[in-house]
Amino acid sequence: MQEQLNQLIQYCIKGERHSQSKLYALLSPRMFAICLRYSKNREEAEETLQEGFMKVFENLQQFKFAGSFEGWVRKIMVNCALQKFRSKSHLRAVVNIDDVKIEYGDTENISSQLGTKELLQMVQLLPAAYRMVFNLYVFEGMKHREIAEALGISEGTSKSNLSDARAILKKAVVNSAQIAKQNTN
Amino acid sequence: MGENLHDIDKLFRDSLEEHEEVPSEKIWDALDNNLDKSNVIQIKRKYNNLKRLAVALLLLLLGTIIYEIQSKKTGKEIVANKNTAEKKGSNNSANKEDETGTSSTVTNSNAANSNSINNAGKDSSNNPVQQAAQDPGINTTINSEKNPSGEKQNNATVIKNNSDHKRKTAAITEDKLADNNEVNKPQVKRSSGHRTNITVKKGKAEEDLVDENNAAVQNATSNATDPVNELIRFQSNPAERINSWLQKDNDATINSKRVSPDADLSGSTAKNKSLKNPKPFHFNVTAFYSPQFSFNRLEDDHHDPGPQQGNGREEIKKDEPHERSSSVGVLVEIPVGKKLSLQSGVTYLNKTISIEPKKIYAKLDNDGKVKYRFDCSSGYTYIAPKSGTTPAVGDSVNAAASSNTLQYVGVPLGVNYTFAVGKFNIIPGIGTTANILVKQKIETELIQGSSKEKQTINNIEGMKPVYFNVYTGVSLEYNVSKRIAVNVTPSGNFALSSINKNAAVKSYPNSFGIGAGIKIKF
Repeated sequence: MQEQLNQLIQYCIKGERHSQSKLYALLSPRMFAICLRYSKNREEAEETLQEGFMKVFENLQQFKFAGSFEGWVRKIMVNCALQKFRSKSHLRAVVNIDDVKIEYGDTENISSQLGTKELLQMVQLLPAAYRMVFNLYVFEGMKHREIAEALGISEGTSKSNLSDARAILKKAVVNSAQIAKQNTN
Repeated sequence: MGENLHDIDKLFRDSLEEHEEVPSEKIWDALDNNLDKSNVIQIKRKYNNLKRLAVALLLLLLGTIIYEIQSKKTGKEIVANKNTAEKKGSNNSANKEDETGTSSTVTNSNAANSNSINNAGKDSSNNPVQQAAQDPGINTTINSEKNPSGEKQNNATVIKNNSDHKRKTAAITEDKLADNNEVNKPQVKRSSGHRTNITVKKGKAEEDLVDENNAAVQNATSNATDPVNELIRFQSNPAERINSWLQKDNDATINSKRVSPDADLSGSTAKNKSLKNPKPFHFNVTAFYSPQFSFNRLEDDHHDPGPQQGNGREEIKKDEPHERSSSVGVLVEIPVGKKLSLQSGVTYLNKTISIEPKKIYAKLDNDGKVKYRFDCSSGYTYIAPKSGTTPAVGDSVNAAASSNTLQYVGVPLGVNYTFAVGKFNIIPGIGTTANILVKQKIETELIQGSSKEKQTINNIEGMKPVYFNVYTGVSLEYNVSKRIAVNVTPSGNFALSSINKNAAVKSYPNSFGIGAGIKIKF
């Protein structure tokens, strides 16, 4: 499998369009899901995906065949999303955390009540700065220091943004769970 | 539920980590088109590299041509000098009294002397002295040196009297000697009275020499040069010595005039004049002014997107639709051939780029302070508001219409080729210029609400101190007088290197211009 992938990469480096198409078909569903998490809507995610794959194909010869190819592509996608975030307007979100009241419900499993798409939509609805910090911390496993460097913010801002993002998401999850429960009843 | 909410991170990670979603098909279609464009760009890049290589090869080729032309020109001068020497050889003869009392006749001055000396032992089948008399001149000497038969040369003993009455003797011997060469040992004696007496030692050829050439020779070498050593050097490397011999030949002509006033010296005089002024002018100076139509070729700076990454290429291109630039300078042109000339000098380029109003965002600068980052094609800068609160990262402010001014001092080096058409000259040229950055400035106005704040920044991050460009153009020149000409020059300048690095984009300035100038020939 790995050998086949390496061969496919080699053909892509040579510029064979058919191989590039196959590589895109192989990786695009996973990468598009990542782009969706970093974007506020589907259109923005598609732009990021397109730019990301262009960079992948243009810089494919730089891949050393040492680590995970999917990880390498994923990193490019995340960088594209960050670049887009930096180049666009992203004024700091004003969120009054006091307004966010967390209501703990029953011990039912929320994830069973909420669909993946619902959770994804919650992330997308976060303010851009919060969304970035949340994604980088939760999904990329980055430290606050690294996030601060990547986004050009202070470490304290990163921590604050993550905390606010979590609070907003918790509220959204509880609300959605309650609605789902009511619908069930 | 409480457990889930306490670990909200895990809830989202578990749900979304492995999530997959198929994008719409139009994404691949767009990628397909962009990959085609990308291939074209890559080909263009390769083509640009080839262009640079071609320019380098062209310059090398021009250098070689110039060298060859110069070499041929020197050769032509030698031939011209030789012809003059031959003419003089037939006209100039002087009586020379032998110190030994033997009166010998040798045609012409030193060149002829050496000729007769060399030829004395050259060919066993011919009378060497006759040959010397019939064919005096430098060429004969060269031919004798190149004679593949090898049966030539020389057992010549040259004796010189210096002013201090010392005598030096040099013997030049070659391995192969013709039998009758042994008897031909020409002897050159030079007295303290600045006269050189040539004695052909007694032998078979000697008598012929005495009989057939009943003329004396005025010593043309005047006094400073040692003919013995010169003769030796000449025989070892005749080509190198030709010019000095010819020079002496000129002197000989002048001296022989004293002895023989009737001698025809017109050829020699003309030649001397031509040697003094071989070129119509030594150099010329052109002062010019050239308004230019400029445009930047922008390339993405291929760095991993980091915190300092600024606006993209398309955005900057859209924001900077207009450029104005002009250059003035003084160029010096030095002819290196009849039509070729080298050109250099100093130019001064002033360029102003208009930047459309845009929104700029606060980011951490290189010192860790939060300032508004202003990106443009030349580079980027961080602007701190003079009033109001310090911005937070991500804050934005409107920048009104801005301008970016760059000034360069250039040192060009190029080659021109002149086609003369009556009073007009058409002069195509090509060369390269090193442009040294002398001034960089961004002027903008920050608009925060109703307040406006003018900002001038004199240091743009990412600018290179020097960039190189290649220029080419055709100058149409009208000769107003012998010394003054006016010209109009359409030209193009194309950057070989970018003017910046580690900025949002790499910028390659190109321009087309029409220059007007006045040329003074010296």
